[in-house]
Amino acid sequence: MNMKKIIYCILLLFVAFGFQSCVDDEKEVFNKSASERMSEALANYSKILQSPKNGWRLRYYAGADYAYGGYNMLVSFADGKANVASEITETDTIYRSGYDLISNQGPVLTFDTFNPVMHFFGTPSSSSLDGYQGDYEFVIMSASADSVVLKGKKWGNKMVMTPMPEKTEWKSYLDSIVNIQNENIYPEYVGTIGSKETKLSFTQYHTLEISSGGSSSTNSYICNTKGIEFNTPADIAGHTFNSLSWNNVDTTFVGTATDGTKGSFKIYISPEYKKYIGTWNITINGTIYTANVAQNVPGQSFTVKSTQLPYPFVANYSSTDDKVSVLTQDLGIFGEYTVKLCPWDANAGYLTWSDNIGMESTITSKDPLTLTFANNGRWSSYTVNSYLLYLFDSAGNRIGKYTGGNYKFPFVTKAVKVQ
Amino acid sequence: MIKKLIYIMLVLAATLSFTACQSDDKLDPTSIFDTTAPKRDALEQWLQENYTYPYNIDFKYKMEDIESNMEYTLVPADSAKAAKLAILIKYLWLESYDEVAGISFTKTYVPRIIHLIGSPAHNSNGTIVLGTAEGGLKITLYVVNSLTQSWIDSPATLNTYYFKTMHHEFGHILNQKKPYDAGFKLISEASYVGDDWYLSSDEEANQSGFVTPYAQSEPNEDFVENLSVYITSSKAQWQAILDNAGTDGATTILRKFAIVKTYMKDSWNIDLDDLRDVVQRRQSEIKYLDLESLK
Repeated sequence: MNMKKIIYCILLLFVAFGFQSCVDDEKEVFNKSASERMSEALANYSKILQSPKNGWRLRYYAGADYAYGGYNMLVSFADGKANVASEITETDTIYRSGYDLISNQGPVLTFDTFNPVMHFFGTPSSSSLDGYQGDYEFVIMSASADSVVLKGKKWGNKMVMTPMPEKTEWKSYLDSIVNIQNENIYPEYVGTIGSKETKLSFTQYHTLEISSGGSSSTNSYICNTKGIEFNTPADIAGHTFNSLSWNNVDTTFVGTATDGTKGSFKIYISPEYKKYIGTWNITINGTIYTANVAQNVPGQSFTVKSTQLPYPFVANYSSTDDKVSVLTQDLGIFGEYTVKLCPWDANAGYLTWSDNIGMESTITSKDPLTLTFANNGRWSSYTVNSYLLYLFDSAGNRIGKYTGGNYKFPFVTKAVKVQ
Repeated sequence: MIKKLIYIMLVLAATLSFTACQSDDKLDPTSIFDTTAPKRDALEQWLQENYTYPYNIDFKYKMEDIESNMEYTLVPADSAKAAKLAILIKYLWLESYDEVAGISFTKTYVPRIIHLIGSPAHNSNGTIVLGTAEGGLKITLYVVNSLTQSWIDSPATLNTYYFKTMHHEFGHILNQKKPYDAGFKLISEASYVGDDWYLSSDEEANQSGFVTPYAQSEPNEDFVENLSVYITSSKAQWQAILDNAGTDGATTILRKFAIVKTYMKDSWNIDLDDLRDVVQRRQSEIKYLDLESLK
């Protein structure tokens, strides 16, 4: 090929490319640029967030895949500052902190300075590096005057905000939720739907385990002023329920499935629990203390009273292994101090006031019902065999021995039911 | 002739087609960046006047996840605590360098971003990250939400959680601008333990010739630990470290420290004794600072 031909070809190529590039006159699909549309969207969301006069009710769900359940947060927005109140703190306290609407992964609502409520579930600790897996940055999925749908950026839970009714006071709204929680502290409920016996078990978090006909499922829920509402509709014995209402008079949860089927679940108390109620002789250091054991939280705990003891105390009941245990607890107020029941290793001479440490029972005779007590094994280096009463100040510092009466209860060995 | 004509036409077409493409290039009058001025609250105005204008520092007290380490679960700083810390950092850190090295040194070399995080960054081995520096541009401080009055009353605590960290990270920045004597790395060459540093106590570290356990991780960390521990320790506290270290340990520490001291003098014209004295004096003056209002 001669030189001329090569130049000729190159020129031809240039012409071809040149025309090509001119044809490619890009037109935007939208009238405005992406960034302009984003700024407009954020301005619009900002207006929507600030519009409800009484703020929003945010159904906040914590935990990957909603594992820690839902919690009510009441939130109002104004000029970069958010006010937040909730059921998880004192209901009359409103915490104020910053928020912003930013563009990243789409429009994002971020709570960017610390708020004890909004950041509660996201706060890490040395024992739980992710805290309770709570988000405080949310992608706005949709927003209108009557509903804002958010999606947590890190843990991915979807959460919905709806405006609070204008006349409802925040504190009274949260109080009515907390009241229901205080009333239904029982962990288990049973009911029959169709012919299926169904058991509802509340867990440590806001999730409910539903067992029916040999299968069980776990459902996240959030409390409302009537009872509980499920995050996604729950299947109870083949029927779909969105919520259950609490009836404190009957101690039942009731609801109507989407197909009209009624469900009613009554508090379940193990029959074994009731056998402990009555009068007992408890042997402490060779001395007999006569005590009355009464129902505290049905199915869960007892109150133990004796004229020989300065304060009544609580004994916990575990239905799974039919054991009664007495753990570290606050007994009452003495002057300006709190009296605590402190597990004690009287042989080694050490006491503790950490939670969940104490002694538990073993049944040694059924007639008369007789229990022996032993260390529950939760205190790493020592063995609980006794209890002490100590005084603590409001900051939790140990002040000294209880001085209003006997403070020493060494060697709690056995209890016999007398009546 | 025909060939030539075609040739010329091609050249013309080529030129024309290029110009045709250029004629379209008009700038869009609307910027793709949002140019509206942000609303600033009292703290943000104060930060602009006390950090941005004099030092060209962007003091980010609001959490920005793109600025933070995604490997950790973190929460933002409390704004009231951030304000107190901003006043303290200016007085104890920036102005100490102003006093000893002159404000133009501080302006030139301090990181351009200080980012505050409320929580610690917890590692799975039980340690926590107190601070990080990136590329000489940014210092991140953690644990801001733990700042209480009892911490403010205790310079040792403030140093442990914030200021030792800041001097430490600033040391890295200075090292990135001007390298230190390579002989430093040889002194304790055989004693560095990498990620296992947290397994030893202060005393064990001192006896091996290190000012802190973390200094054992690698030479760069060792260098800035020497620097930051010296700046934030009183004479008695520094002596206590040497006493802890025993004869061999103290000898090693002092050999390394001599290089650190010379480096700061020769490379940056900073006398570490002066800096230490200024920091000590300013610490004793914390009680006169008004941390409750922004002025």
